Amino acid sequence: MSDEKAVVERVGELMGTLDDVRRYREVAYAMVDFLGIVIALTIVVILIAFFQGLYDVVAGFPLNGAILLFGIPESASVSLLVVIIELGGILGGMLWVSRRLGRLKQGEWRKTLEEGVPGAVKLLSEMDWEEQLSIVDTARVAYLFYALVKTALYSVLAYLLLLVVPGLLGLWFIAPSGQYFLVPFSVVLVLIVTKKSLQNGFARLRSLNLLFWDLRGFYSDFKRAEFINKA
Amino acid sequence: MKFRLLLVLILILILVAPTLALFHAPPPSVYQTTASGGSSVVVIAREDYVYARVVVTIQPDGLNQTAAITFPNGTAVTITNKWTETIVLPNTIYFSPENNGIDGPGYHVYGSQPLDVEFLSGQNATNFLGPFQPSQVPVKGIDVYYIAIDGQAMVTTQVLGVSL
Repeated sequence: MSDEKAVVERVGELMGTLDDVRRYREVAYAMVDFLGIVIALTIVVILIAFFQGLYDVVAGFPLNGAILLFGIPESASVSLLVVIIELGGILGGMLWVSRRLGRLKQGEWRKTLEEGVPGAVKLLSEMDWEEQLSIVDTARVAYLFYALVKTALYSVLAYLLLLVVPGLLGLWFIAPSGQYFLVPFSVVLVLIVTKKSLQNGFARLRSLNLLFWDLRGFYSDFKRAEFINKA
Repeated sequence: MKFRLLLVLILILILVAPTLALFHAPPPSVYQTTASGGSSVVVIAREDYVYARVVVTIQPDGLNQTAAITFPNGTAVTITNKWTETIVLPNTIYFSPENNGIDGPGYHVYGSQPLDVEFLSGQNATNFLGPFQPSQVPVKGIDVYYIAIDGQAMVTTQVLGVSL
């Protein structure tokens, strides 16, 4: 009886693992969309900054105006527009990722597993192992991509916040050269803050992979035992 | 398909991003001139493919509250209140890869820094503005302009240029 319970538990762990892996893969795919949105908006921002810069140098720039982007003096409205576009893009992208993840079907196996060992056997028999292994492999690469994009986007957010808040306080007019250190500072700050999360994520993925292989071994044993019983 | 679109976007970003490097904006600076110890000189130097706008604001302070300004063409004015001069320096050629670099008193101009505005204090203004001293340095493609200030004043410079 306890063996049967253990089998059901282990199959439950496996299915949960696979749900996690599918979620990681989906997040990574959603990150491609996210990255596309952010890059497209960055191009828009660069074009705005370019034409604003041309306008400033040809038509005149505001005296004591803010210097927010790439050292180009900008009018407050353009700076605000740039910040709104970038932050709006990032928030919109996050909503998009959230929507995609919301559409992901997970945990449908729970009902079958409630049947006990027969349900567990059914789940294992219907599983396409090669496909699942492929998903795990893809998810590992995808998770790396996700971690990189996540770090980059948090860095952009940190950069914008560190640029805007001191900018509004007039710090960049007093110490304009401080802006040049913001990019490396933002990246280092994000790496320090998210270090534990990234380490945990990779450790979890590694352990999930090990669990998957462990359970695949269990499935082979199970099938062999089933074959012997039938014989 | 999505990956292709992403690659196209990255390519566009790579093409568009360097356009911002065409702009040159030395940080705004604030200087304090003194009434004694010689003239103060604002030195504006640029490669001639740079279209530049320089805004110089001079606010006399101290007891007498006057400052005398002498422009590169020799014109002199005496001011008693805040005074702002916008100097537009149109490019005379379009960008060429032949970047001449030069260092001199109050200017350091080269390819990666084609626009420079600096401030010198305790100078003899005639060394910069006298009839026998050309305001253009003897290097082809680089122009240097001087504005001399006598008297106690607060001087602010704001500069923006674009390589064309």
